Amino acid sequence: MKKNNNKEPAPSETANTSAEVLSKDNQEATEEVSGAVTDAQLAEKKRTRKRSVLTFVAIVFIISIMISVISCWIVSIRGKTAEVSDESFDKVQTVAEIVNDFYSSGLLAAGNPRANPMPIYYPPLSEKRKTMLSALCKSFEFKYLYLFELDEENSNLIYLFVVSSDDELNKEIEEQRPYGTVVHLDEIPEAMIAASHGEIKNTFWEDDNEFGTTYGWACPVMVDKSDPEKRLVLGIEYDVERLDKEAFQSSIAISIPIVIILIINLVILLLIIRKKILKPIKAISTKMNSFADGGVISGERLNMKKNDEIGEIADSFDKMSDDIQLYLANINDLTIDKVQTQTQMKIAERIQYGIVPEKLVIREKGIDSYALEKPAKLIGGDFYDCFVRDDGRLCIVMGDVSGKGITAALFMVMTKTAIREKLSSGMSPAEVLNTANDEMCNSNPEGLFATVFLGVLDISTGILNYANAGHTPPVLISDKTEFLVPAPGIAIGLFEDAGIENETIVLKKGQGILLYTDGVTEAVDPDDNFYGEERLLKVLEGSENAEQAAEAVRNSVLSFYNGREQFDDLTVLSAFNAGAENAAHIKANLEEQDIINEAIISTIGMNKLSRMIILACEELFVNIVSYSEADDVIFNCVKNNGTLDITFADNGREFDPMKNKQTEKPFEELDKGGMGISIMLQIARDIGYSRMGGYNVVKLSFTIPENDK
Amino acid sequence: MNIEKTVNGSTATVALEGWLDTKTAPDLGKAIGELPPEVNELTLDLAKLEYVSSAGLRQIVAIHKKMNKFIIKNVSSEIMEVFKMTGFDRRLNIQ
Repeated sequence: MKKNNNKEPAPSETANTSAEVLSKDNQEATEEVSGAVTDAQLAEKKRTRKRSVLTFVAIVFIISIMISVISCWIVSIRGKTAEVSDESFDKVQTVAEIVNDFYSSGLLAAGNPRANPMPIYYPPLSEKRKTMLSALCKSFEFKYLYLFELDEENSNLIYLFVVSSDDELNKEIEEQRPYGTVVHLDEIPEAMIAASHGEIKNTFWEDDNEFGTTYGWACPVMVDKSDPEKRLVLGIEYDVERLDKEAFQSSIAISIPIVIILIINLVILLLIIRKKILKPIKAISTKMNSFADGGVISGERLNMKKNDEIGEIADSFDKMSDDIQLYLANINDLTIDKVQTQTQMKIAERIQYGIVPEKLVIREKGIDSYALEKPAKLIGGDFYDCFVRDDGRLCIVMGDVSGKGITAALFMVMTKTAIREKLSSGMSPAEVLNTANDEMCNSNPEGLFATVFLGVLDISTGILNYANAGHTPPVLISDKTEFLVPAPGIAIGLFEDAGIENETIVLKKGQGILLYTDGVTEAVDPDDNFYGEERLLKVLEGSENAEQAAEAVRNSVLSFYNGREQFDDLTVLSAFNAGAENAAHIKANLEEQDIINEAIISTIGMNKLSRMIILACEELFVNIVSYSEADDVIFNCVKNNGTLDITFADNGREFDPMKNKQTEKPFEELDKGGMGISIMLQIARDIGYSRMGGYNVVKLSFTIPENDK
Repeated sequence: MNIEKTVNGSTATVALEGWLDTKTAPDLGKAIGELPPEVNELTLDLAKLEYVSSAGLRQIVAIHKKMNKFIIKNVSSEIMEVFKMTGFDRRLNIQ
């Protein structure tokens, strides 16, 4: 469940905080979902970690303990064996001497010991002696002690006696190896052989028989001092089991303390590792885990004040954390700003591209207009419009909106649309600007404004009715180029009741006008020079049509930039009076009637029809001359597909012939006049009247045959 | 415009040739004014009149008011149309 802790944000902050709000929601959600997971994971990691580091240490320790114990044991055995060996060697010699004493006295008569397997002069031991030797055996820790004669030829041992340290065993031995037993050995130990030859050799053999495993030593025993050849062998055997047992015991004795010490060391070491290494590592790890939990950087430092390697890691982590936060903060700001700005600009661009065509040409019915816009990289806010409205007149608009971005683009769209609508409905230029201004003032929270120049051009007469709202004055192009000087007006969108007024000028045939924005005059070259107005006038000299004029300016400005970046939109619109073929400016003088008649005759010849038309025109013209107080009359006569269109424009006082239909006068009073308009009205098929600027414009249409003489 | 006057006592005939428009209408007026005062019957011959405008019509009305008897003859169909437009055909003696 997402909780929104912020209160309703202000509209302009929405974009900025939405990311934050999103990330906060994310964090809470993530915490909930991942909470359970992370804990389990951490626990798992805990176990794993302990196993991997400390266990490893422990295993190494234990292995080394085992190795040391085993080595101890081995060393012990060797040592023990050596010890026993040396001791036994000494002991066997001692016993040999004692046995020697036993036998050295009381030798019986000589004989051939070989002839009789039972050596008669080697009597068996008395019980008393046996017991004594048994006790000796015990105290010397031998298992067996035995005396024998070695029959090397036959590889036999002829036992005189065998005693052991154990009484029970002695009984057994008495049965198994009584005096005179001959035992055959496949292999006689070296020490025995040596001993039988009188040599004392400090080697022992290993014997494995039904009595157990033993080590044996041998020593010669002199039985007759007078005859060194009379030798017996004394053998002693040491129980290997016993040896092993003793070795084991002594090794235990040594190793137990060692093991204990080692284990204590291990525990201490583990504890130290845990405290000095594992705990800090875990702290770092925990910090890392929660570093960017839920999309929000926690930003806390470890601040572990240690001088060792762990401290280094902690410090590195802190530094990295600081760096990341700084970096993110920068990116965040930059990105949001950049993205916002870029997006705004992109949208603004699209809007403007959609609304303002790169080029617009109208060439029809005597209209010659050519408009173009080359936008700057960062859209500047220029716009234009050029269209023929219902009454056949050409509307030309040029504007420049302040500011950049989406709001400026939208303001531009609204302004252009409003202007077009109002113009299309037949409003005069001033009316259009004043009403548009009032509307824009009411819906313009950002205080944007636009300078606008607009005009309505009547092609048949060349009359241009125009109004200006603070825009750069257009250029009039005739045999000379000069600036039109409209009233400055005020940019729309600033104050209500702008009070802009209509003005009129007449473009004669071949004359034109060029509208532009300050993107032309304020273009800058690499040396910081302005394009300026003089240059504009100059470049337009000699232009004979709209395309020529517009392109001349465009090329001139673009080459003026000379590699420097175009920083403002380049927008021009040119319109020329090219269609008023027969338009003539005549004086408001009856004499001028001939000109009118000539024009009509030259268009459709002299015939009944043309005389009728002339009649209608005469009536109108006379009216103008008599009543209008005009000093300029523009007359145009154009043949259009079965119609003859005649236009009369006079700059006299406002007079609408349609409104002033004479009432029926008595016949006798007709000598004073009053028939003219009536005649005109009856002859012309269509009559249209409009007041344009300071002109009355009357358009008469007459039906003429398709192919006339 | 050519004006041919033929006076016979109190009867006069005026023949017009050409265009009777705003420019030439005053000439007609002048010509009528130059007639002897005893003339009170006028025949206007428009056989050769090609064109008449309201200025001319005004002169015609003036003649009509001045004369006792006023006949307009040889009116072409074109001129007749103009008379009809202005109701002259009903008020004038057109032959």
